[in-house]
Amino acid sequence: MRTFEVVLVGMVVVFAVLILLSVCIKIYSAIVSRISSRKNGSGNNDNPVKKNVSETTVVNPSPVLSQPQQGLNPEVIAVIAAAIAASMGGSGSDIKVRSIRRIGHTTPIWNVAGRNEYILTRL
Amino acid sequence: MWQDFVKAISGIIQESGFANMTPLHFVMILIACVFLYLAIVKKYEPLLLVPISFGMLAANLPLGGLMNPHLWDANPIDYMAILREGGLFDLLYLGVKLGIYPPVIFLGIGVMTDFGPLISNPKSLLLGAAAQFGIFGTYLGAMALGNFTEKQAASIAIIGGADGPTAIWLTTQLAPELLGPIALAAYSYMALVPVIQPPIMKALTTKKERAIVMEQLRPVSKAEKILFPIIVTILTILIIPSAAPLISMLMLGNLFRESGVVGRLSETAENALINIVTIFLGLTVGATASADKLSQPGFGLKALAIIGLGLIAFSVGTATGVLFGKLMNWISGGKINPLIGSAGVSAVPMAARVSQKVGQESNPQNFLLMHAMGPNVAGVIGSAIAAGVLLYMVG
Repeated sequence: MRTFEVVLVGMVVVFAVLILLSVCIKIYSAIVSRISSRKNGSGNNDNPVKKNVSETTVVNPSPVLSQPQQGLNPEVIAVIAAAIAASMGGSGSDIKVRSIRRIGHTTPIWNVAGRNEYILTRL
Repeated sequence: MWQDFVKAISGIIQESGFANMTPLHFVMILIACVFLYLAIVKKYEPLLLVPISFGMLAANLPLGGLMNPHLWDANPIDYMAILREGGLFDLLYLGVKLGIYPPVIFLGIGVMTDFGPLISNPKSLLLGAAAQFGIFGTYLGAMALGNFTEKQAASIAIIGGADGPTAIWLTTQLAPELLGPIALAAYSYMALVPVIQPPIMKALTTKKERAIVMEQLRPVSKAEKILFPIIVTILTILIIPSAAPLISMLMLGNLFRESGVVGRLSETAENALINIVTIFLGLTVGATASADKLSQPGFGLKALAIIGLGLIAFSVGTATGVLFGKLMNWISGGKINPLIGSAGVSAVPMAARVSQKVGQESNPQNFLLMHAMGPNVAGVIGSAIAAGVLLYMVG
């Protein structure tokens, strides 16, 4: 009887505490994001930067269609631009990123398999 | 002259370890060598198993006096006698016995852990909770076997938490006499996670479920990451005060990491400090597995039962995690890959890697690693809470 009591109380407490934690995380995440969005709204600091980046940016190498930037943050754009600059060599100052578009997987399946193998050895 | 020489030599031989060696010492040395082999050649958790098994080897060489089990068997323990007569390992073992090393290791783990995936998907905390069924299921099993006391059963059950420091911490508080076998079983099974988990995960899921691609996690802001350890500490310790040593140190480490203002402290905690303490912890935990213990009637059998129950603990935890993942998948309308549930057993980050690997076998384009890290780190919090509850209930 006592054994079942330990098991029951144990599981209920573990679940209760973790559920409570997850609720708290949700609540404070919401509060934090609301506060930060209010700050951004009033200060209007981030928006011009975003616009700037999306207007001046581009993918040079592949034939890419232009598309409005949706949810693509400046960091991702910077990373993509840096990767292109690095792979093309040179200073990178002659590259203009006009648009960034997600394209379907065109990589041969063996390349994907090889890449996955490699990633697994690094995990 | 000649007689004196022979006498002196025979005296030395009689005083040597060889003359005092019993078959049990030999068995223990053999076991230590097997674990050394597993650690060095098979690379099973070598960072821990090397010190543990070497501690076991050194402490079982007779007359070395490194560890004196009789000092620790006294009830109540006479700490002055330990300071006076204790060997090197006895003195280092004080840190285990007094519950110092495991929380300090948790400090380092806190610095190394990124709770971001958990904060961006708080539901994964539930998966971390579900995997703790392994602990309580094993408790039931150990009690049903009948040859363990309540405290011993609780210590064996915590192997299912797949968390070395937690297992050692709880065992020293509840059943220090079983520390050696429990620590060895816990660390060995943690190393065997990639072998134990996949068959269970595959048996409980369909190929279609394993191939589910999950939505990308939202980025987590720095403020959220800094608030997390503070909120978890306050909430958890207020509810379960007995989990305070583990949770508070884990979260302090995480605050070091996320605050970004104490680079030197977090660097020390995640490198030098955790390594030093791991050496002391491993050596002395291994040293508690002494031949004297093995000679106690029924101890060998108990050690075997612990090894069996430990496997059950891991398997049940994995299974309940995956099953709960299936339940959440069903509730969410097919958005959650049940494979991430198995990562809830902790064993960071090995269990999450296993989820990634098994998921990718079904769908090569699938990357579950970050999704699995959520339940994985939730499992650490979950098993620390479970340890606190067990300590409160049976301690």
